[in-house]
Amino acid sequence: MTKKWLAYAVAALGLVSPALAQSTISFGYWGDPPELPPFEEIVSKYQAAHPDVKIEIQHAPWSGYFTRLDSQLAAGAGPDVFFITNVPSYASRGALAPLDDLIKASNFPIDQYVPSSLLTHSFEGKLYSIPRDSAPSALYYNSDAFDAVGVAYPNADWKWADLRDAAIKLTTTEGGRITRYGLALESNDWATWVQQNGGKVFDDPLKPTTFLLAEPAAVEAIQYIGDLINKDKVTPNFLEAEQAGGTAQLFSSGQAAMVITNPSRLGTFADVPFKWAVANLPGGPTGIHSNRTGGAGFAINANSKNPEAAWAFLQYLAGPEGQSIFAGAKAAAVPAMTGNETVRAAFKAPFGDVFLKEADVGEQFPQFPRFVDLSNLYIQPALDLVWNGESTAADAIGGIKDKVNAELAK
Amino acid sequence: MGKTATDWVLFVVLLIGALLMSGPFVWMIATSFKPAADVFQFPPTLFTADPQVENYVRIFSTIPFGRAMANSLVVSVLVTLLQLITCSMAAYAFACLRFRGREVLFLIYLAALMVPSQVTLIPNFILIKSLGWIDTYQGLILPYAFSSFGTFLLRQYLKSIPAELLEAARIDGASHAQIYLTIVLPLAKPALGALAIFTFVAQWNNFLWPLITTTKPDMQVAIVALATLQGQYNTDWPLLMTGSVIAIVPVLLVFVFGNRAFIAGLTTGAFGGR
Repeated sequence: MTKKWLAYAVAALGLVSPALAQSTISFGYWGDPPELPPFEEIVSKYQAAHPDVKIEIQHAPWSGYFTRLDSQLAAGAGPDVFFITNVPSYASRGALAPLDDLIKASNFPIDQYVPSSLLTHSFEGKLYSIPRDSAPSALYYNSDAFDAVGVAYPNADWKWADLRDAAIKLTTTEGGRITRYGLALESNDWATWVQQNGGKVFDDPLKPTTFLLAEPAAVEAIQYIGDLINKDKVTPNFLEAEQAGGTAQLFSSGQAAMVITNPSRLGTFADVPFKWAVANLPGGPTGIHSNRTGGAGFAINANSKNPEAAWAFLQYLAGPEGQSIFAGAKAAAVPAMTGNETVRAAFKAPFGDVFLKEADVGEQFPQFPRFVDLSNLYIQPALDLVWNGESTAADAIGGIKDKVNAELAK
Repeated sequence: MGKTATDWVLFVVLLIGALLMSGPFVWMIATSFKPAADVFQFPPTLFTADPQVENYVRIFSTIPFGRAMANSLVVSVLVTLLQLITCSMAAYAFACLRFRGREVLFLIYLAALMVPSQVTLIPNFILIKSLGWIDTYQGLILPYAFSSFGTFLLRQYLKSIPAELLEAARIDGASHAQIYLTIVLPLAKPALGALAIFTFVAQWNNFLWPLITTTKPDMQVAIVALATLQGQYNTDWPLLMTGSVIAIVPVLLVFVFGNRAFIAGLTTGAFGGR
């Protein structure tokens, strides 16, 4: 008798369950093992709240994520919702669904995001991805090294001159060889310095008409970095830093007393054998605070077979709940939804206030389809001359000004 | 027998070569035992004072590495077997059969060697996708079931089998299947062994195709699973090296035992006693 009932129950379940699993959407993202928990938590919470939706996870390593995504998109496939950077390149190919109408129709709180961060995720005035994080840089410093040399810790009032002074005092040499650099910098952060000095790389980072890096304010900023490397010799050349394992390794191994780098280093530096802390970036000579903006976001595949379900999931993923989960994770990302109190409160990363303050002054770096070419052909080679001490910033950048402007006029 | 001066020079040169070649392996193994903080220590040390044996356990809990190793084994072994069968049959046809247009057909077949794999990547992906073979073993294996390189390699080898031997078999009434199975395959052992090693190692190290055609963590092969340890900003180097040490074991075994079979194949066979 019981057997019979059991059989009925199984049959009933069999009838019910296909009706439950109505829609399946796929969700693609990258991440190394410490970065994965918030993604998994969001998927399981969403599925628990929406039993009629099944989310298929498509995880890939960072190194192969875009290769796979490109192949999938070229074949008219790919996940319905995916994690993405470099939005213009994908939006210009028509791979991403525009979000503005959906946002308006659903009253999605898009005004709670850092405006400059939204620019990063737009193409030709339309939003294609909702940013998860902004990745502002901050100044990490080795407190033990500061104590040993007797220099006061960095504070929010620091300006370029203070940074340079400290870097000089913190640099140590032994037999003519530098054993500790005062300050290590990332090679792709130079535009931040231009902004801090009141300069610009282009008149408009997304739709440029004029190249402004040869203007005095910008040249001064580039020369400041060049001097730290070649004149003061307190900052390693970018190539040298890379060969030593990167700026994070220089800092972890005590070979650099300060480093300006991204928030993910909070995790990298967790186990280093000395005391350290994080401070805001120094202001420019006139006190301008500026940072980069960027980070990754979530987009909907233009080819999605199930755009409604994808948008519903994206609203959760990129909305206050999802953003709070990301902000509260162990390997937290500095949230882009800084206008939301719940998200702000969930972000409990060490030195969270420092990062939020930096996120608020984030400015869009140049990002337009031809920028990569212009950078490879002209801007980077000119900057390399300065970094290598082969030319002054004024000469190197002055030499490419007309060429870049001519390219922009095309 | 005394060693001559040239023997000693040769010995020293080979020793330096061996040290250079084994250096990265030694470093990999040493790094797999280091705590993360020791990896980029300056000045560098080979051996850590605090060996992390638990890395060899942690790798299996951090990523689904056991499953990935099993996937790699299934795919590499099956691809190797399939290629040995298809390539040797094709090579038999191209080397031992006479038919009109044979050389032209072979040339066309060889031309496939000139097409870079990147060119066929997307078309192959579309094909596999329309067959519904994403995230399946057949999707990982079947595109590699045929190889123009393998056919070329075996055909060149089979060409060296005297035509009289095969003709004698024909006269005795052997069918093509019998000749292929009982005469040609045993004779081709060394070439088959070489092809098996090449194919296994190439499949084991294949990254791009498994990366693109698998989306579920359960279907990842070892090399792709290892790549997930490399993050955008952070990489757990000791764990990555631990995984690499484990992933290299099957390749090493194939090499050691494959080499033995390879040499055995050279010394036995129908003409071994001549």
